[in-house]
Amino acid sequence: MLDYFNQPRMLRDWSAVQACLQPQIQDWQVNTVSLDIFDTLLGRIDTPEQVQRSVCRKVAKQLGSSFKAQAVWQARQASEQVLRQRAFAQGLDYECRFADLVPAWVERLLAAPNPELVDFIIRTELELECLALYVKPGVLSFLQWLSRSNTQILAISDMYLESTHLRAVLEKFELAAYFDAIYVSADRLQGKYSGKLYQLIAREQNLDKARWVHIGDNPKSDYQMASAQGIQGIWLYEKAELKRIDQQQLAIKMAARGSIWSGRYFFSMLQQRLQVLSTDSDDFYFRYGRDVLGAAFSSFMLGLQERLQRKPVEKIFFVARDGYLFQQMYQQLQAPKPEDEYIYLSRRVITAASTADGLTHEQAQVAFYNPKQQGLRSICKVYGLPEEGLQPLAQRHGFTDFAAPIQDWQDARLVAFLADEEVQACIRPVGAQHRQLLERYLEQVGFFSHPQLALVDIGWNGTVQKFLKQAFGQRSDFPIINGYYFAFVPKMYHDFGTHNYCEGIIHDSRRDNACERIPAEFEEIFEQGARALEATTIGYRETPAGIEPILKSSQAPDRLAEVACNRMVAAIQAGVLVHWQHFQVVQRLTDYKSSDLLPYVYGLLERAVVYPTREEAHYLTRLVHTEDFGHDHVLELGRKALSWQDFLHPQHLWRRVQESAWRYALLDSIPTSAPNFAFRMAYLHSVRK
Amino acid sequence: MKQRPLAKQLVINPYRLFVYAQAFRFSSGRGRCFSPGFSALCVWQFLNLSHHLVDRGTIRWWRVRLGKG
Repeated sequence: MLDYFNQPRMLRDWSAVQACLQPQIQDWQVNTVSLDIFDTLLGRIDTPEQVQRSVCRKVAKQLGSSFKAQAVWQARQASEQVLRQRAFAQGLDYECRFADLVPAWVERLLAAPNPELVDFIIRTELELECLALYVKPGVLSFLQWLSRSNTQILAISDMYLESTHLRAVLEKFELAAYFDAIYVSADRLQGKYSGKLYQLIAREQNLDKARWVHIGDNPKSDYQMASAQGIQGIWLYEKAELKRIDQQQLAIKMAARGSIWSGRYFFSMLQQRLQVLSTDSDDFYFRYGRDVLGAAFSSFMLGLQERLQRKPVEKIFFVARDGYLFQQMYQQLQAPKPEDEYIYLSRRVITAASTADGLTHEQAQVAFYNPKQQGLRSICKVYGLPEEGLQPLAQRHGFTDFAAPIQDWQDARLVAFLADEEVQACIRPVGAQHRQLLERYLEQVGFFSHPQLALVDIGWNGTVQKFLKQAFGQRSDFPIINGYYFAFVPKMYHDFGTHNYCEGIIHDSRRDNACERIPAEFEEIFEQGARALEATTIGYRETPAGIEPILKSSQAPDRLAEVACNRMVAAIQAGVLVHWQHFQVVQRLTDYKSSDLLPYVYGLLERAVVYPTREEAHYLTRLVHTEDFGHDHVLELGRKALSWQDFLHPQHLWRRVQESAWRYALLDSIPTSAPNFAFRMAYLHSVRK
Repeated sequence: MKQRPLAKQLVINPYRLFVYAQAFRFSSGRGRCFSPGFSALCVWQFLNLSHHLVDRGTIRWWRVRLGKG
């Protein structure tokens, strides 16, 4: 029965353990301290079973399509059971050694020995174990303190990996140097839970049990069995950690259901890694990149990897400027991978080159997609045409104000203007010059040197890809292009020509899934998050070193506004890269495909775009957005929040909603998400797409 | 030492996602792809509740205190 006053040693954290041991060590009452390894020194972001299943998936992949991961797992279980039963029959504990297990398992699978596969499995399992583990908070400072106290320190574990493997794991985490010896149940097939491992250690190390303290997280094997052997057992009872493990088990169970649950499990692991392996930041933009955009951009990169495996290409071009972050992320991937290059293109330089054969009515319309379009002036800006040469010709066709917006795209004056041979004669040589420089630049970067290549960009209409094909598609060495976009919404063009494929990985409007449309609800934040810090490309010039891009002047009004936002963009990207680093580890452990993650990622984005926190609305609306279509306009993402007066004037309210780049942020002054929900529903009703 | 939870926004409560998805259900009716599903939500709630009610950590603690291991 409970002797309340003779309480067992249950300590809640490492500082409590240190406080408990300090007087005993100082008084020479303790000269040996042993520590359990797993869940005591090293925590886990994934359970041992999930790590082993991951190894089985990789073994099945290695062996080819005739082997299923489940069958490989079952073979492992069967081999392990045989070895454990054999040890038990020999009077040892119910244990097995990894070095015995792997050859037996391989032989069961292939009906023949295979040393290469054995080596592959051992390497993979150790690699994945290390990815799933982390040094728990407080451990390092405790071990540093203990090592200064002239105490013998032992590591003891009940584990199927042998001590050589565990030493490698501890070395990886820079903990091995703290231990005088490592004892594992797998070495002698004797465990802590039976007390035999303690007896063996005491004999071998000639220890005085009365002066030996053992610390571990398992109340039976680390506390009770140690105490039963006359050792002072300390149970490390970390309640929060036990709760976390419970939640982890629940997430694993739910992940088997697919849908959002696999993504939720994935990102909860990622969150755990961030929690223990990174430091928090006070910078909102860094946190937004890490916690919101990181999930979307990393899922995009995973989708890109999958497509590149299915449809291999020789080279990948990341298109300036919004392909910049994706290239940074791509460069963190392990080889082998196709060569990559950042290519200085913009809608401006591409469209300018496309006028070498004159300007069509369809091309002219492209300039009018901008809400702040200025009619013929916009055409000149978008296509890099000389205003002074065209203005007198425009007057002949009834354009008194060259900068007046053209709302009717079939305007008779416009049709006549474009049909005027003098107008076209003015346009063609300018276009030809743009085109010649662009062609030479493309040759210089090897665009025409590969039969198959990929273009990666944020989206949205595929203008660059469309015009590249239009301008140079007649060349015999024009490559087959696979355009991969974060979001692809081909509103402007539908025909991209032959061998010119486009796909939106996160959002593709052709899939007609209303749910995945969320990036298009606030596309500016994704563009800002991915863009390079430099200015947009407005042309090319010839230099002795070759053709080089001309970037927009740093004095242009939109560029000045961009430069002011560069610090925020850089912080967002730093956050995204931290997320990506952990994302790759968790993906290696889970082997999830982008399709497993996307349902949850859409949910994350829905939360971020439609239901932003007040802090998000406050900071993100400080960013400004520019476009590279030749204009100098700046689109401010910030709008004054709606007030009750706005609701008294419905027309004014509707105009504000329509003009807003981020309409859901207008509601941020209302302290509940209910209006966002109602507004979302109304909006989904109105767009029907 | 209790740490401040980091990257909280990465893990969303499934109830929230369920509510968000209802905006699609009551409008276009298409693409409820981030809804956790009502039955899955019930299972999650049941398991979550049982984890709270049957707190293994506390049970372990009492077992050790009572000397039953």
